[in-house]
Amino acid sequence: MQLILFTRKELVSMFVWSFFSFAVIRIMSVFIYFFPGNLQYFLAVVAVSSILCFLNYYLFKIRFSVKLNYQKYITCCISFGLLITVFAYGYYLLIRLPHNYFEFGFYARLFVLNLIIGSILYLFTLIKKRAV
Amino acid sequence: MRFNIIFFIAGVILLLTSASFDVNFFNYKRPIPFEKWKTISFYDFTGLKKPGLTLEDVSRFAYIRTSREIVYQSNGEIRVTAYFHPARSYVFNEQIRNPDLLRHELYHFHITEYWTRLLRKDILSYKGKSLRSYITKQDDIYYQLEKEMQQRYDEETNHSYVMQQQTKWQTLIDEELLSLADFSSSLLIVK
Repeated sequence: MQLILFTRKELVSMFVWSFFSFAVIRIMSVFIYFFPGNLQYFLAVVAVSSILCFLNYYLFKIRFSVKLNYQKYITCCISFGLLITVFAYGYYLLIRLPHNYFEFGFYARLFVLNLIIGSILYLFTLIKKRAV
Repeated sequence: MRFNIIFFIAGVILLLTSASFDVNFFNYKRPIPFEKWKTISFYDFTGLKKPGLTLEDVSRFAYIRTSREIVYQSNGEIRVTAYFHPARSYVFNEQIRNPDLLRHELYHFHITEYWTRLLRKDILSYKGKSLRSYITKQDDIYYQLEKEMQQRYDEETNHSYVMQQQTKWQTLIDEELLSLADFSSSLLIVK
């Protein structure tokens, strides 16, 4: 049995959206570096990336007229998190200097929090559905 | 299809914009090795300052980016060089390009060269096996020590404000560099 979760068009769309989201996260670092601690910066990145990840739900709805079930949605979130990490690593390889270390821990934490916040945001869409 | 193209292009534009604050490739200048440090002026600081970065908040007038590069050549020789990165360094205000401030920033570069010379000394005196792993280990140790020294230098001189401390540091670094003058060449011929 072959399990096909996404079509080719949907996969390309997810890839492009992840790339755009990564670019948004990068440009954020130019403007919000002035937070006194790293925690505020990290929380800001988590908030923005979680929202961008959640927007996948509406992208599928608008572009492909598909209401994502939780399985598909969480697969979207996982691939989003993995792609963001891959893009970040590629960026680091391009511009790094010796002794610049890639912070895998930062992206691992971002990945986990994206899944948790993403799941909570998905729950809200279900509550809204019931209310209607 | 149009969605993909629009968001891809928007992503590339945002990424190029953010990357230019890491390395200003719109006004790129190649890294300058330490042997040419006397040619450096504030006009070589071509990096982009992040918007909104103010003098008071960070208590810094300029930012200099230096690094140490180790190249293993095919003939067995090793090149260990300290570099200043113009496209990653910047001044906060065009009006404050004064010689004292430039001297302060250049002594950051001197500190990098000091630890680079120590590394060259270690490499040349090393007699054991697996030289590469030894170099990597020493390089990492010296990088941490250099980082601490750079911070101490900025704290004690208050970014060149405290002239007495600035002079003290300059004398100290000059003496250290002089004591390691035998290791000023970046090319190492390892026997």
